[in-house]
Amino acid sequence: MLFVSRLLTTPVKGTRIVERRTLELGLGGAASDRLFYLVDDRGRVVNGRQHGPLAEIGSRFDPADGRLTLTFPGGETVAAPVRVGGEQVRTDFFSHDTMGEVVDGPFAAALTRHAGRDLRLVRVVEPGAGSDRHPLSIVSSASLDFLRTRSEDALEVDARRFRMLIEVSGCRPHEEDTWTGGVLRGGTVALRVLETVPRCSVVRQDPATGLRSFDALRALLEYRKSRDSRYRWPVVQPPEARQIMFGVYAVVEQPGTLSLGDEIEFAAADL
Amino acid sequence: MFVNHIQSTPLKGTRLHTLWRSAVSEHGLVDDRLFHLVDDDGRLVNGRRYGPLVRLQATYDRDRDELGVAVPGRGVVTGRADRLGEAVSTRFFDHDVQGRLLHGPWAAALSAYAGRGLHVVRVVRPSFGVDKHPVTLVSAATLDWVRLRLGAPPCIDRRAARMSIEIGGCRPREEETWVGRDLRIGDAVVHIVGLVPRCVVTQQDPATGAHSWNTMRALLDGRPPPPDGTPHKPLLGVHAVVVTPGTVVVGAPVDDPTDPQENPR
Repeated sequence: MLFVSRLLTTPVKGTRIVERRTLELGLGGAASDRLFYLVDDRGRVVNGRQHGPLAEIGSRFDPADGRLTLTFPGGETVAAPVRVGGEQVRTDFFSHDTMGEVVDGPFAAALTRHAGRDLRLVRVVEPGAGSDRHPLSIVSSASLDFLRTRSEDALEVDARRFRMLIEVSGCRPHEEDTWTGGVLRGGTVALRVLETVPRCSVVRQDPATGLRSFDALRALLEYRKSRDSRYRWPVVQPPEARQIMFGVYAVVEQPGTLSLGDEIEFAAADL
Repeated sequence: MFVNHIQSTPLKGTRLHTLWRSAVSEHGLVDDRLFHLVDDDGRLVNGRRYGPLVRLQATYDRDRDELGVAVPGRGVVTGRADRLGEAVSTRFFDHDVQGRLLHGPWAAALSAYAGRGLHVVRVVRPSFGVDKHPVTLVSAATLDWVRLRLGAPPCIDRRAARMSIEIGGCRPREEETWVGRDLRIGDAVVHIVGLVPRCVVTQQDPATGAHSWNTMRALLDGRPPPPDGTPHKPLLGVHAVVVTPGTVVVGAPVDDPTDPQENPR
């Protein structure tokens, strides 16, 4: 039996991840997830990779009244209804370009103060476009656990470090790699698993502070690219994968609700 | 499958230590539950009777044969663990455990902390201080499953379950299918004896001992009553006896001893 063991979102890309009990999943991904992102004075996206301490900022968006609240370390809170002034930007998200609208109001100044560099807040035009490659990411609890057992430093690795939307319990470590092409059904949704997720240096950061801590990338490298015959696929990734893979991307095929504890059924790809 | 977590304590009922590695003898994890507490009437005092025991942290130095107990607000109370007194027999649910009262500085400090007479007993033989069998196992997926049956976090964690070895990479309750079989854990081999009936300790916050979750109800609701009319008990994880002593390390493979090794450290 597979089941949903954790749901993690954030309305502003790069800021602190929050545990959720339920997600509304539309074709664009989870409602209010990565609805906003930050750009610097040259229009480049700024996320945890460029500025780790963003993880110290809490963000909350209420879709009912359109209010965004940012909470900064030290207690400063900035809250206002989200208003866009008409300036549109096109931002390179590495895998794709995202269209956004610059948000007016007090957010940019507060973010700039915190980061010590010019930052502007941007709202995505199309829901789901604020994700890196595909709107959903999924990892198994067993993969996280397996990584934690690789060294004594890894024991306390926090699931939020990998910034995955959905965590699934009840399978073998990295079994999610074998779901590629197949469909996961749970709650009232159906999700198509597309490909494994290549990881970047953000996974070296402590998710609470954004500062470098345990080197999860190296720990993953050691076993995911191992040639040691004692390790078996899927713990070892296929040799053609050039980056270090952890978790899988998915898209929503049937929108609906997914909640903690929902049982998940897997159907392999139709051949 | 792999070892996901190891935990033990030398003094029954007190806070569990997370271990990276532990030797496993025929008596279970080495130095696990070597000592327990009794009240002035000689009755066992464990987390079930006094939840705040989990605020105490005990350490045992095998080379010096010393027991240390960190008591909130009173520092660490340390003394030799070989000053044995009167032989005592302590009722542990369904069996009697033979031990010797231990003379030392603990009784005064612990009694003052707990507001009741508490005395340290050292078991006559290692493994006598466990509830039934020397090793308990539960899978990470089963704990996730129970956690979610209880609602969202924060709720039961592995310290509340108080199992000695947690297994990663399997299905929820897969460990129940191992009853009657041998299992290799690292280079040790255990024989799985049966499911573990759980008590109110699993309902307590492992940081404070306060009653926090209705774990037993979730465990009862999670499976149908036995068809033969025997009592419907809250069951979680399995217990085991040690067939081949060895060493367990976090990340070590867990598998059928007849299979070739998988994913060793």
